[in-house]
Amino acid sequence: MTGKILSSLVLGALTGLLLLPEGTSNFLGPLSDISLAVLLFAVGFELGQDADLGRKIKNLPRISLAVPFVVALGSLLGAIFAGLAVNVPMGDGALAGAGFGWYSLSAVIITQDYEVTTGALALLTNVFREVFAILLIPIVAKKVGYLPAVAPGGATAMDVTLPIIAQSTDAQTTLVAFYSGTVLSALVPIIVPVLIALLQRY
Amino acid sequence: MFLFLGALILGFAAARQNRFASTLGSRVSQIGQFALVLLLFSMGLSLGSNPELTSALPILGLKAIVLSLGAIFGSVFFVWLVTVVRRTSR
Repeated sequence: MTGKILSSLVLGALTGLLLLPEGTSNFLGPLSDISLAVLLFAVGFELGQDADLGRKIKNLPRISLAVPFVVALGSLLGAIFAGLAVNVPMGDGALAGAGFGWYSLSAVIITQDYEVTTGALALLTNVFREVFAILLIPIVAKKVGYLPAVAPGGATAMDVTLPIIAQSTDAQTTLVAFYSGTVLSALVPIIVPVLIALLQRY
Repeated sequence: MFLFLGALILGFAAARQNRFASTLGSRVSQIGQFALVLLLFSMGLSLGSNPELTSALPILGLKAIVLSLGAIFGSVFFVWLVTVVRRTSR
């Protein structure tokens, strides 16, 4: 499955880079929207087939509620420290990490309200986060645990990486992933402007 | 956004209807896998054909890779830490 995932992504990127004439990318929005909707239908269907779901939700450990906030903290600190190793200023590292994988939104806010180069860095960082998450989630689920497998996807755990999490873990973890991705998506437009305001003040 | 949430809920509701569940059953996960491949292909297409992205890649690519891996490992580590602390505190 990972091979299929990676090759369709690479094939798409190469096609886009080499073959796609300018202006034809308009149909891409609807195409990815529809395939994502079909994908989420399938995830919902699998959850619905689980007759025990109600009990599983009740039995969820209360710590699950904290997962998105722990993911947010880990993403920020991880990006800041990793950035220091390649000479990225702490503020830029924090901003890039605060996209939580939602590349379209965080990069736009940063480019408009802060700086173009930092925006481009955030865009690339979060694109890579989504791609690496797709590849790493099955490995993290197997080697580290189901709940940590919710973390790599960040905000995308509610859509693009949700089916991967669903395949690699169980119904309970899939629910936590959807919840975590939703909260993180809501946090992006709050945390990024707050960080920008802090950076501009100090 | 509403399209996606709607699709998730619709899938859930369909599975709870016995009629659909028995006829769709095994097909759904196959269709889902095909949709995943299609989604990633179209994601690749829009990334590859984005000049903003491809022009920034040679200059900022390495930094972005390091930052993204840092964010992933940081978040995985903290969630792992929380699960371990919780287990030992019981």
